[in-house]
Amino acid sequence: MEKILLMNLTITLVVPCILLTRKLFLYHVSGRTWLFLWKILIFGLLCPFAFEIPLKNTIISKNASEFLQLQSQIQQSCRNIVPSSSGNLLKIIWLVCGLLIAGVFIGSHWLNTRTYKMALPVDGEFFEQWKRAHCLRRKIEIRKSDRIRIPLTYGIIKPVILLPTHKKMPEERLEAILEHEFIHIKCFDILLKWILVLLCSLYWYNPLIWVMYLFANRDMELSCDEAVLKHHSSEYRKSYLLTLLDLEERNTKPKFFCSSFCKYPTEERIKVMIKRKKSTTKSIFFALLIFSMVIILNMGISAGAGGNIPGITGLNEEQAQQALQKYGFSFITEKR
Amino acid sequence: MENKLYDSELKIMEILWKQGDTAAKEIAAALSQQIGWSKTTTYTVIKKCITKGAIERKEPNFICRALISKEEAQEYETQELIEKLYDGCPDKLIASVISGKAMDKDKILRLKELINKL
Repeated sequence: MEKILLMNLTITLVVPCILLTRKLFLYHVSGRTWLFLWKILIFGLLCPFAFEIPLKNTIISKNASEFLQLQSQIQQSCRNIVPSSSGNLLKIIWLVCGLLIAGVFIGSHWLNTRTYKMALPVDGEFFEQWKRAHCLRRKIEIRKSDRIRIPLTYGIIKPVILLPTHKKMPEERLEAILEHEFIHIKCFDILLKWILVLLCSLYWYNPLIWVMYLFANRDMELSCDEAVLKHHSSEYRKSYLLTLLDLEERNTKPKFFCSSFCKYPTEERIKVMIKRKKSTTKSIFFALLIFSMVIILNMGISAGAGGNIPGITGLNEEQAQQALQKYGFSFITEKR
Repeated sequence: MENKLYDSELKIMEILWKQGDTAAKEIAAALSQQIGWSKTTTYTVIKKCITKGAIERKEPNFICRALISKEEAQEYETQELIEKLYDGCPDKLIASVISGKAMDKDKILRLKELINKL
């Protein structure tokens, strides 16, 4: 229970922290930095479930009785928040909703994958040359489908880039698209998306996890765009941006009402690529400051949640000391 | 037959137009070699063709028979192709060049102007 509270505390503190900095420094700091901050948070949230960080040889309290008091206070607060009688019901609700959410994501992906698999291989020297120039340990396949509107990539271990067949694209634009998808494959972005879905299924009740999901995906795209444009001229940048808009036009679907709160992701990407200024010392300094705060907050909370602190409520001071020393904790007893 | 055949379905039809009545098993083996489709994918596409009325299934041994000719299939090609695109359910476990809400035309035009000024 304490672990869950601490994890939610992490989300509640760190997400607004990243969002605020992002709002202030979006045009000054690279998308890769924002993505890295999200990855730190994701890693921290996965920590208690993946592995625990043992707090070995740590001096955690000046005397054991203070520690005992603190631990029983935490446990009492948890009991006050969730009386044990409703504990099981909450667990069931959490599990059912989590499974439903995971089911929706995975189910829709599975249904779509059946269609993706009906794609046909592409032919032409252009694609062969491109594959030779972009080798990874994993074999990348390029296929074409008349069932999709916009290019996409699926698969983690055997990635496949799918291109729509309907409109012939000039090679220049095709190259920009393939480059973009290649960066997604190289950086294991699809794996990250799966991890984000897992976290949303675990922490679905916390609205900030959905905010994290939204912005982490956006920053994945920003980071990808930067990587594509890194070593290219401004003419290439222009062509790349026009390619994005061209695809947006094809993607036009019936309008739904939309509050001013939600921005178009592609619009944000294009504006960032047009307006991005060179990082100044000031902006790098602030970004690093926030970056350090995020790491400290995250690791501090995760360590607290994941630490191997044995339960010592009900033991006397001597017994508690012995129990804790077994796990590598040492105490400095105050001289009275 | 009502709807246009997708490229994937035409691939199956091409085999039947070329070889005549063929067992589904043989079609699956041929396409696995030619284009790397799994047996499941081939059978799924064959079933779609059957639903559309392009193929008839004969037993025993799941023999496929083309119910339309190549010329008849081409007559169904229309400009409404884009509208009939498979939209499916939104898939969040893929990477794409663009994602999220589609922009309206005005916004697209304004951004194009901005880009051309670069």
